[in-house]
Amino acid sequence: MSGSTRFVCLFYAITIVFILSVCWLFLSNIGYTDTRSVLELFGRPWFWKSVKLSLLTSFVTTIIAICVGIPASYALSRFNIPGKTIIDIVFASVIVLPASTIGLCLMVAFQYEPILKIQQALGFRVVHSIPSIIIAQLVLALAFGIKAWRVAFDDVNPRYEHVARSLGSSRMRTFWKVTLPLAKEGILAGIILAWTRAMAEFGAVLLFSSTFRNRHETQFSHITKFLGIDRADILPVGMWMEIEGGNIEQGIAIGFVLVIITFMSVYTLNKISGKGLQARKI
Amino acid sequence: MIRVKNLSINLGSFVMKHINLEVNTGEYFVLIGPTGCGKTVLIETLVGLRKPDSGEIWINNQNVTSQFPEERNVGYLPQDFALFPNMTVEENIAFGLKARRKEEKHIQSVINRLAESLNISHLLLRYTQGLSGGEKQRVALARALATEPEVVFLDEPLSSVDEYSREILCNELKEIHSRFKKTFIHVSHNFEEISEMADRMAVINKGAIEQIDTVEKIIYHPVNGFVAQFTRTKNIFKGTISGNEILIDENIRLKTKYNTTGNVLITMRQEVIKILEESKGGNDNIFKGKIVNLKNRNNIISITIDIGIPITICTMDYDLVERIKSKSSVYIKIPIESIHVMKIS
Repeated sequence: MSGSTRFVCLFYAITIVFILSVCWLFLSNIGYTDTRSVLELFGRPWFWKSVKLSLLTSFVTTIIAICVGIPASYALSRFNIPGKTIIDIVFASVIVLPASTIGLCLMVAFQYEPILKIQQALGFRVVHSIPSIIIAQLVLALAFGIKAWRVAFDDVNPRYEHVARSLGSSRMRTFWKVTLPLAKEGILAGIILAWTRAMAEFGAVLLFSSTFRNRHETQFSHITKFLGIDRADILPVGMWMEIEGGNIEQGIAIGFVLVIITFMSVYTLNKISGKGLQARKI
Repeated sequence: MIRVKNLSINLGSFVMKHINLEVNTGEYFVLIGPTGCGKTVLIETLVGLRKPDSGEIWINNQNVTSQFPEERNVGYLPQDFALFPNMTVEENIAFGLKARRKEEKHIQSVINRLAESLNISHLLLRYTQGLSGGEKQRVALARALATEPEVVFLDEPLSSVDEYSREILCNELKEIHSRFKKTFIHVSHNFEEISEMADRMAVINKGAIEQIDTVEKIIYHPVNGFVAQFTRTKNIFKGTISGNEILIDENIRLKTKYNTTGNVLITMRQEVIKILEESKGGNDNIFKGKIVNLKNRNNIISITIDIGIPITICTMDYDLVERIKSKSSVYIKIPIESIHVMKIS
């Protein structure tokens, strides 16, 4: 066997072992749940409220992350912002910090002035409220999104923008018509990251928002009740509560629901970006 | 007409100072210089992508110094042409017109006229990936010309094209320039590539313009050693002039048309020095020497003859080279009018 063949075989073997390990990771859990537990879970009203809450908060988080993160990433990529390196370090630190630390920081920040004063003026407290879920999810979703979007903009050669502007296109039009379409794949990758990060968020939400399932009905606003997300937790928190309460089977079932939702989200967004790519290859 | 008055650009580690330039309407003007001399910085400032620290830029009697690129009405072809890969050829050409909110009917007529004129009608519905170098150049020019710019800036557009294609694209570029009668300002670091195209050129070195002149004057009458070297003059020597005689290395005496005294830099173009098989005629500037080197590059033979100083001569007379290459000695004649003298301290 030549050196080159050995190299290919070794790398193939490592890849196959890795894929089998990931499959085993999920399949090994199937034995710890059963159809009855899954059906029982599906029959519980809080479960569907939790699915709705998870999807809704992740959706809102992703939209806010897109609206804030994409312009911020473009600015970081193109403008000479003072302290750019420090900003990069802060975002990278948010990614590697334990999520529970982020949750703790948020809780302290919102319990003290000046943010506390603002809340008092508005007659609303964020900590342990449904909007706090979005804030906790947003910190990490933004950090992940900005990392991906910044790379996407860095990859677009500024010459395209220079030419567009020389042709009479304003900065804003150039951004919409040239930069954004050219960075599309990276932008979509960032959206996938932000969405999945928001869906999977657990530690920060648990500390900053706590749980809602066992709270009294009167503690929820009319909007929350109207949306049908009262007395529910986001799925990762719901899964943790089930396991803490000794319902291992249902905890694992929620875990599988999370895996399926995440898989479907990534697959759908990949499909969208794939279609975009095919359209360009004429 | 483009006028640049006393322009200064400070980039911290690199400074361009006191740039003065006038480019006539319809002229093919070349900014040339070695890599890192500041020519791209200058063109980006002229396009409006950089703000100068001081000085003024005038395009057709309008001071555009503080205007953004989108307000200047210029065309810009950067390296590799930067055609928008997310758009078809047609959309690329229409881009500037749509940015100026022109009517759809007008846009279509401009696209059709330019596409026909530049022979790219068959490419209009294609995306830009996969176009040949020539097709890309024509599409980029069509896109730049669609908005009727006052001037088209070309920033080393042929830098990544192979040598064979570059020659074809250069000819095409010159032909399009003369057909559309627009002012072209072309940046290049390759003297051979650009010398046949330019009406006039500015030689830039270390952030300053060394010489602005016609190509012929820059080649045969460089203002300093850098320009002479950059224009590939092979024979550059230091010497002393007294009256109309120059002394090089204390043993070579050259007659010149100049009449002055002092230390000088002498340049003699390699293509105007003649090789003689035997000494004949007057003795002015005829020297006996020995062939020390003979090279054939792109069918031009470069011969170095040692006459006390090494003199390089370029010729395409292959018969003459065949006859002299085995001889122990040959003669050369340096025409008086081919000797260019620059005073040095």
